[in-house]
Amino acid sequence: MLEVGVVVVLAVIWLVYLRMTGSGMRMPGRRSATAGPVDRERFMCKIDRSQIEYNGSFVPGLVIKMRGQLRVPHNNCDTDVQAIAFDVTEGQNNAHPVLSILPQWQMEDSPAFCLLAHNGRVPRKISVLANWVTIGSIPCSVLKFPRQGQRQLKFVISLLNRSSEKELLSTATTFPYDNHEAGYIDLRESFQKVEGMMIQLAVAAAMEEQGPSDKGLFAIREWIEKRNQGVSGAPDSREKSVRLLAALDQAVQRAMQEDFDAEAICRSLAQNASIVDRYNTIRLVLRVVAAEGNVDRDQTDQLTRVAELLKIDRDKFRALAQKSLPINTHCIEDIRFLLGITETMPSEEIRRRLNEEYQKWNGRVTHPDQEIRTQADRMLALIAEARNRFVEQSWNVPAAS
Amino acid sequence: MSVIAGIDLGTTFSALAILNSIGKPQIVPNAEGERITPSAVFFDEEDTNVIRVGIEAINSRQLNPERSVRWIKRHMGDRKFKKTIDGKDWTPEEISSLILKKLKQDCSRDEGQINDAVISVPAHFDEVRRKATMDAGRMAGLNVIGIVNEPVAAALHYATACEVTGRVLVYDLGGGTFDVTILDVQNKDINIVCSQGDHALGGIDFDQKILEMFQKAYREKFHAELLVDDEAQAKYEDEAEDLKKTLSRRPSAKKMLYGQAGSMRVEITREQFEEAIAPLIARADMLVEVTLQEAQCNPSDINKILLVGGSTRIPMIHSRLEKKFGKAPEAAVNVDECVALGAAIHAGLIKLREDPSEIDRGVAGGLRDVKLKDVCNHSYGTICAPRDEETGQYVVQNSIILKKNTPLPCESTQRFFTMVDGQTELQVTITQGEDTDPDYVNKIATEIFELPPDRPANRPIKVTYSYDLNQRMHCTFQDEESGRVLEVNFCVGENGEMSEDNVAHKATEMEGFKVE
Ligand SMILES: Nc1ncnc2c1ncn2[C@@H]1O[C@H](COP(=O)(O)OP(=O)(O)OP(=O)(O)O)[C@@H](O)[C@H]1O
Ligand SMILES: [Mg+2]
Repeated sequence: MLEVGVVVVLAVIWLVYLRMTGSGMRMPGRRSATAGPVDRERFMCKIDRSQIEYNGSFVPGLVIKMRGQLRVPHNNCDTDVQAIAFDVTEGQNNAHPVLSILPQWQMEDSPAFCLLAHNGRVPRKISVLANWVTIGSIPCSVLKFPRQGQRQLKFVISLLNRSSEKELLSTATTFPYDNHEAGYIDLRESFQKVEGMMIQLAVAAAMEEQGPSDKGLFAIREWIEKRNQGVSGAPDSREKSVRLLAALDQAVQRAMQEDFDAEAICRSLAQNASIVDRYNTIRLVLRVVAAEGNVDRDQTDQLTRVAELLKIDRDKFRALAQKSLPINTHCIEDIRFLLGITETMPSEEIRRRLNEEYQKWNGRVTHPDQEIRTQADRMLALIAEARNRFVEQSWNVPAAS
Repeated sequence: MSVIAGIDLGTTFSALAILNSIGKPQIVPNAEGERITPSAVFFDEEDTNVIRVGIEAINSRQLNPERSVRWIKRHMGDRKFKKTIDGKDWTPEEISSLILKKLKQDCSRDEGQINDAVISVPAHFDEVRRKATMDAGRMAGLNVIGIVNEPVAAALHYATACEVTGRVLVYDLGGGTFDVTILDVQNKDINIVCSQGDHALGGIDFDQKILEMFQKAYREKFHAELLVDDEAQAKYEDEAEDLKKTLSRRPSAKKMLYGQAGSMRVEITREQFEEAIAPLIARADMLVEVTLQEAQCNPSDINKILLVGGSTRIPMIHSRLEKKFGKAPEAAVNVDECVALGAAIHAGLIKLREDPSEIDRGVAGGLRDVKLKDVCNHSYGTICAPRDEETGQYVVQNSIILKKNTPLPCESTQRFFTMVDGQTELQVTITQGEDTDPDYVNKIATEIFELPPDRPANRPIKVTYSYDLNQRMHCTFQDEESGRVLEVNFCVGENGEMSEDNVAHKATEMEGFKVE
């Protein structure tokens, strides 16, 4: 569908081109009688901002155009036209690529924006496009910029020899652009910040009196390794692993030196981390706690608080906790934590919750996996004990209407 | 005359009933003249030709607990469990088949050979355990024509023996398992609404609590252990059960404990017992509440509470139920026998449906008005990867297609989509269980469904599961565009490890063992 769109754009270029060769084409050497402030003979480009049709509706877009003199090695030379883009807000020497989220507008080996179109045969060694010719229209939403705010963009348009792929001519234009979205560098930085906070929180969970526990640190390193595997082969993989391990060292140092505010980290994560990473955070913290085997009341209280601050859905958190801290291999001091009940909960609500848990675990007691069966048996015994302890004994429930 | 039988293969006791000439079920007493037979097996050291089953096994147990087996039902379908006797590994199915063989043998002395039989199982038994039970029957030389849920059997007997109308809750607390079933009865029309069960709640768990009280008392007095060996364990398990039964009649009971450190008398009051079993009772309470919720009804909607199983003799069970429901529960039928009696009726109904010509006219007449509408015992689903609403990520998940407690026969269809471009294979997994987390469900079959090549993602696949009256499940996966279909069929538990050939072979092997 999208590819069809590009073909249509190319056909239009060619039609315009033909029309030009027939009438409006001027031969070099002769000055144009209507030459305005622009030098019509120079190869040049411009970007118009307008509403463009895309996927059946009108959206804000950039329309890339060219005109002027085309010099080619021989008559009837077959050519391509290419457009690439940079963000030069921080200077020409510090340019960052503009990215495209759609593959048809990407470079072959990177997501950097690149439009490549067949321009057709240029009839004579020197020909002139007298009018602006549209090379392509790109919806703004497809492009990704390094940072948010007022940007300076530079588009470079080149004419390529189709057979040798050699660049024949090129021209550039620079213009201001207001990017309303967070840029990819912004995102990477905040993402790295988020990862740093995740690690800091995990280290906090691993802290014992003397420092973080070995098992806890091992769990964090494992997590770092696994987080890297997701992008294995990607060029930043090693760099990322080095960065995360450095973040871990830093977090450990911080944790040893000062009493840092875990709650503040949670709040910041709740604000800045994606929902997926909020879940990843609670998973990581659970993993660190699980590495110890014994979980005391302080730890479970903290876990509950962290989940709350990270705005993790209560039922999902309970399911995660039950899975990460299987009762058959972990000793959990406060069983209420595992069952999702609290001291302040009214008896009736505890009853309802325990019934839910009972039903859930009762369905698992015949599982083919012995481990799960044992876990289910232990959970059922735990649930029964909790019911016996925390739910009012009178079974004199008034018959509901 | 063809003999149609129903067998209650219980954790602690088993019973056998047959249909008489007018289609009424009746218990066939065993060779010892008892109407129920302990589900115990003893491999006699002196006489290895004979395996003792029933009261004899119980009596010999304390002499040599190593060579005795009780409560084998709790291990049914467990492939890892085995009891090694004289170098032979006995599976739970084989041991159960010895019990069934004894029942069959004793019946044939008075009533002739049994042609067809139905064996009852707890409602919550999964496919593997059902299949294991069926295999045990076949190994005992029985023609097992079906499996019935114990509370359904109890209800069948109840509805045919008493005049009943309304919504009934069957509270079946036996030796090893607990089931709660809600059903609607209109004369002899029985509609099962839903069933829930707990596989590890029964009389033997109550016995265990008393045993713990014995141990504690002994430890306090002598600072020594009471249960020093298997013999002592076996002896005091029996004593505990005995004391428990006494407490159902009297407010307190006494026992002598003879340990190595000295002897003592221990007295346990009903109150103490009730306190000790409170967590177990809490568990039973939850099962009742969960079942009511599943049936979407309140305690006041229940017209009758029917007690089934020996453990319902505990007075506390009565009083709690009366409190909850505002009416006294009924032991309207014999709590020990009603399951076997109902299983015999169920056998007759199956015969009537499948082979009406083979059934005697009198028997057919007696069953004519009985109508049973049963439900699907479990939820069945498939593994898929929908997008999580909250996180937007794809998560692998079990999606239920056929819901537990849907009236039989039933069918349900859902539509899924292929995930990637050019997908030519779909791994289809059939699951059993209620969980959405695939780690917690039982994957009962996995097949590869081949799809046409060169297609984009998101091609619709229609998945249909159906469950028939004979408890046979049928699954089809259809690629809507090409019309290509993959069918998966299996009978209750046919995914069990044992093939039909194997069972036949085992049956021959088991013929060689004499039971008494
Ligand atoms: N008077 C009594 N008081 C308490 N418990 C009793 C009494 N009589 C029998 N029981 C208990 O009932 C249990 C046996 O009941 P039942 O025969 O219904 O169970 P089952 O069919 O063997 O087991 P299941 O149905 O769970 O497989 C035993 O645990 C026994 O101790
Ligand atoms: Mg029973």
